[in-house]
Amino acid sequence: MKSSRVLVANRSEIACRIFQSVRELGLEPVGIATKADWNARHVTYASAVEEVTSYLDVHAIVEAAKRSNSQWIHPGYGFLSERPELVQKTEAEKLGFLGPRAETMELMGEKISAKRFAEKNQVPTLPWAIVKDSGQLKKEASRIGYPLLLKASSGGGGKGMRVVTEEKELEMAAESASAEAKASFGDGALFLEKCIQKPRHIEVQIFGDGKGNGVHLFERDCSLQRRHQKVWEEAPASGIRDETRKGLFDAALKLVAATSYRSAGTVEFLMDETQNFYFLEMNTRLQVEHPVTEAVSGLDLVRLQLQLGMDSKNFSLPKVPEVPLGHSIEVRVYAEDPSHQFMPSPGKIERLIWPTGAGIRIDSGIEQGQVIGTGFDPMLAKLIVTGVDRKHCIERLRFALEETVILGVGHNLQFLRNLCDEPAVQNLAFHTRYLDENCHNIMKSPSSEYLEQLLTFTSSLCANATGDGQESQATYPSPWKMNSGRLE
Amino acid sequence: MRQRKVQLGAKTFELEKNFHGVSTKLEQRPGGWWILSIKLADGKKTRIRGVGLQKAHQLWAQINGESQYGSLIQSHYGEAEADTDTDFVVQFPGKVRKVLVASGKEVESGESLVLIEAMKMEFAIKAPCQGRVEKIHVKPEQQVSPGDLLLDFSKETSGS
Repeated sequence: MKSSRVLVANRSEIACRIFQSVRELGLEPVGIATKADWNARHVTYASAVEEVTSYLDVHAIVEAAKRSNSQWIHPGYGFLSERPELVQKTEAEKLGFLGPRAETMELMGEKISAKRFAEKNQVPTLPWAIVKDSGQLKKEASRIGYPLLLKASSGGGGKGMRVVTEEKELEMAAESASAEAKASFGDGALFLEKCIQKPRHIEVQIFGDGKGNGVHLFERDCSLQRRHQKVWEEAPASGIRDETRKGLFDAALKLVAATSYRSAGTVEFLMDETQNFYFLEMNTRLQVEHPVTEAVSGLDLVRLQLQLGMDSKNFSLPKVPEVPLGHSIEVRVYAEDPSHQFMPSPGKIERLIWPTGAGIRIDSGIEQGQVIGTGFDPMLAKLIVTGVDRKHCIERLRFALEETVILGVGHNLQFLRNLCDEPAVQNLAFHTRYLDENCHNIMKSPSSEYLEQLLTFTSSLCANATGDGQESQATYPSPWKMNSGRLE
Repeated sequence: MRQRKVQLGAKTFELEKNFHGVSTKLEQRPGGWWILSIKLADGKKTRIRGVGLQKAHQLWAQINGESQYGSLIQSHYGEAEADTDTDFVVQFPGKVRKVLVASGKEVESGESLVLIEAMKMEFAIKAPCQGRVEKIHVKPEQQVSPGDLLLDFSKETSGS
């Protein structure tokens, strides 16, 4: 008899997100966790949990699926989600893999083969080179011209990426990028590419049935990134001409057809100021920012992945609305301190309040009382808002951020809140390096009005519970929750 | 009452300085929120909603939708002292990727001194001002924990 269990080979917010669709379809979600990560939120919500030695251990994960009598494996994003080996080992055990085929991952996971494939299918690309030694490095760099982008030949997510503006920076950037790439992916080979001045990062969400048919679910603008890590993502991308948009969709769908793409995927493009666009890469997985696409398409991408994986014969592609249903923005809440070079800020989440209300979605990986370590990505949660148009959406995002409370760890909530008021963000005058160039101005000091209120608040209350050994003169219970002192 | 200072981001503020309220009322609300109603000297009324946390010298506050956090600085600490103290103390567990300067080197403001790897990312510890690296306390590949001192640094002072 077939089981009704789906093993989710991931952790934190995305594991919880996938659990939801699994349960909505009447199935049982099985989680995995390492011993050190047992406090992670997803462990609480799984129907069963299998301990694994590592989230990167293919063998352990397939064994966990067998042991828990799971019928399918969903990889989430990151970790092994784009590793062909996981697909092969899963399918060799007659289990279903809820994602693309191994050969699609192989083709797209390697930047060079992906670029060549795109070129073959008349999808525009930027000048590039692959580099293995330092002699070649200088020669190829001057052929392509500066500024150029240096990145790991394998992997994604911005790790090991560097922008090199002139030749004298080349050697050190290459060494550093190569080491970081090696640490993250076990491969230090580098990829050089022409860098567009002030590009926007535009990507197209696609879904394929694995038989050569596919649909696009509109585009996303993920230009607001810091150190190549996306911070703010929205759908649709505003200020794009209809013909550009059509060109993007056509290019993406060419790759879907040419690969007979199965399940959810994303084709990423860089777009210059005159709206020429160039193929960047294809992500053969569900992406972090999929909720904004779900909001404007009215579809559940994980549910579609499950339906296709469970019964591909009777699967029919979803009906996508003619135009996006309003506008949606996602921001990533990170445990990073913007006032101190975005340093990781681990600690215990002592107080957590999420906003509720119209058009607000929280995909959270944290709980009150949880200890955030430094072993994993510093993303705590995603806050997604949907409104009638972009302006409404930013106003709603501002409200949602104002109603979010995280105490006990450093975080970027105020940075995100300030982004809502940033003229360049409001007027679409941003590009992929905007945050790197402007983060100091965005993380401005508190306003004098705010400060006056803060000082009043603290003077009235904080002074009553100093925790410095002085006798408390509290006449009120203190709103300052004391961890070291007597008050709680 | 002892004077208190709060460091928010890179700035230090004194707590009592701007206290203009003449009468206040504090109300605890369900859900952990606190409402502070203030009547100002000019007769205007303000209502502040917030929640806060103090843990040792660390302070977090979310007041009227604005999230801030920082440290409480006891009045007997000088501001300058507090600054240089914290710049080279490890704030998070990680690994030393690279030491970019040698002991005794004169450095410019903003120059990268040590690269630390944590959460799979690389972070540069930079010189806060012009000065001199007196002594390096760490080696590449070394694991570091919060509280560890990376290096001794002395500020450039006129005449030295």
